[in-house]
Amino acid sequence: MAEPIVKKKDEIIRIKTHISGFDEALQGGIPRGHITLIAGSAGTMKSSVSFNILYNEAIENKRTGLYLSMEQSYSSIINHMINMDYDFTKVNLIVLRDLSTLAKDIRNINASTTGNIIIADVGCIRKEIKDVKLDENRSWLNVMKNIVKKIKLESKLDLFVLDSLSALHVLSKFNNPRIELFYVFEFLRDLNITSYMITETPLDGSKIGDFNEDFLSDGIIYIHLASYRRKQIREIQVKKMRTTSCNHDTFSLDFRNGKFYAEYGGQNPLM
Amino acid sequence: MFSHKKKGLAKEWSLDVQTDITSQCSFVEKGIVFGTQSGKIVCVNFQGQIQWSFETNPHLGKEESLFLDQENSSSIVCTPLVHADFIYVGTELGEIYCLSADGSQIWKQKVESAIRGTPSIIPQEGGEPAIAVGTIDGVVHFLDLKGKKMKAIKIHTPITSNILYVDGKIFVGCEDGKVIAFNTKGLHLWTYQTKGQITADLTSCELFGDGEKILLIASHDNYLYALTLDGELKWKFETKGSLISAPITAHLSSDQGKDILLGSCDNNVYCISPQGEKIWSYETDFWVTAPPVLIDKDGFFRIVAGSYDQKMYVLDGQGDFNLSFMPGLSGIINQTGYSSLMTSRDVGEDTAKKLAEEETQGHITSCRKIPDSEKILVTTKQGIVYEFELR
Repeated sequence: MAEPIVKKKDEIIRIKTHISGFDEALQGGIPRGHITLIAGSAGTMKSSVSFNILYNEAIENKRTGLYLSMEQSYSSIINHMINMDYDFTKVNLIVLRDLSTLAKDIRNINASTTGNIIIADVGCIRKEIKDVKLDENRSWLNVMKNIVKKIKLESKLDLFVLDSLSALHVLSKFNNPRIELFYVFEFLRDLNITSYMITETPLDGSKIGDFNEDFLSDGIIYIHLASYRRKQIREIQVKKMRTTSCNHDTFSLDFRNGKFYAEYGGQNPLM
Repeated sequence: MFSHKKKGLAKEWSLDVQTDITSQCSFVEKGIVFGTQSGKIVCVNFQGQIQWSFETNPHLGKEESLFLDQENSSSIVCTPLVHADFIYVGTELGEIYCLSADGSQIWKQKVESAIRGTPSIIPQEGGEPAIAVGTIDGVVHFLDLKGKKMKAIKIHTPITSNILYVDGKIFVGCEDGKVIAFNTKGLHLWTYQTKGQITADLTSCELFGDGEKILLIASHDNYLYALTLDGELKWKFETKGSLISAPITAHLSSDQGKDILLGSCDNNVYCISPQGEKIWSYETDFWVTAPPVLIDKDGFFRIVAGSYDQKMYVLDGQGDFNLSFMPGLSGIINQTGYSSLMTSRDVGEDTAKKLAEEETQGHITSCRKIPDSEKILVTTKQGIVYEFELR
């Protein structure tokens, strides 16, 4: 399905980032169906920012989001989010750690009256399944695509976070990354799923992605650590967002009282 | 299905098999067989009806099926081998099927990795021949005619072509562009490196008419290679596009050697001399990925070629000769822009001569001449089978 053409700009549906002050820089949010890179070095809260979108969309709009973790375990993710004061009693939280339970999990989503967050723990699935011979026909990329497609077609799926694109590349051993990523992105666009691809960048931010995913994506949100004397501050910036008139200023990114804030756009917070 | 008559290339019938056709077709007694994207082996008879359809059915657990590319993992890319009334075909999921002429399964054997190239029959010393297939994990598997595994030779590079057996030597074409030769005991003989993947069937023929067999190798690096059975390069012929399908050979211009007909992804059909020089070429509007077909029509050779531009072309096997000058009343007058003084050489050039064309509804991926007839069966990627008659 190609991206629908709208008659007026008001018809563009936007998904909020749920970062106070940042959605305003994006005309209200990221256009639905976009594929956005959440890029940054280690420790920049990329995963938290992405999970925050799924959590708040599940609560506010009863949306269903899939968080597919290639390496971090589901228990580590949940504990991390609980430590950030997220209340999982408000959403239907499903953990997919065994492919044989996928059908049951889909029934669970269909029966739910609240928004859903599905955490697919690929690391755990990898430990469960050791005897599948991976080759050109059998790959973890296919596993990702089949889980996404099955949930979308047999139930509902609005939002998708891949944590991370770099880990998927290592597991799937892309021969031609740009070509293969093009088809992955087109697959997600065809399903009209708003997607967030977590991408690891070098500490100095010298490049975003190893496989030209910055060209293939619809948007790039870049988070990095900035040093001011002996203080470390997270900063967030929209590098690119198609179909959006953006404020490209750099904002300070803060998390307090269970909520993200983007502040001091374009200004030095310590001045 | 429909039928109508006209001069040139006449469409006799067409049939929509409702799924993409993903392999080249092979003849059985009553029609053709081919593989489809949906994982079926389909037999269409010469009357344009589906004679039978066999569904390959790999036994996969629900979890294992999640590892597969759902759109393509069932595809049958491998061209079926027909031998002694049996059909042998390999699948993307690494299974070899043996079917009877009526489409019932005789046996099935698993070799673990995708089979893309046509299976081959390899003679065995003092016994029945074996079936050989190459797999994407770089192994040549030998099975007896009952499907029992006999031996496996590791090549260590994905095999994407057929297995060719000539004079006690076995040749394979690989994804990394290598042509590898070994003997029936698996002893490596030589390797020749091309610069592109080899997916076209390797072929051999007595190209020069001197009894020496020559290998013809079409590569994705745009070149057609002529090698001796010892791996020595005789010549290579450059086109401007990938070569996806094998060439065919025939005595077109002389009885001494065989000319070569070749389709290329530079949109051309080429006629090449046994020495590797272009005789003529004809440009279609898109890739030519199906091997051309040669028909002897009333003593004249006709070449029928299908293109991705959805058309069939009938070409004169002799080509044509275009003069570069115009003979005038008082001698030879050069044409405008042609500055040579006299015309002792290069007086013109060989070109192709198109006799007819016919439209189809799909990218043409396979053409086969029905033996002892002037009819051609054509398949398109989109799943339409046509029969044409050259009139």
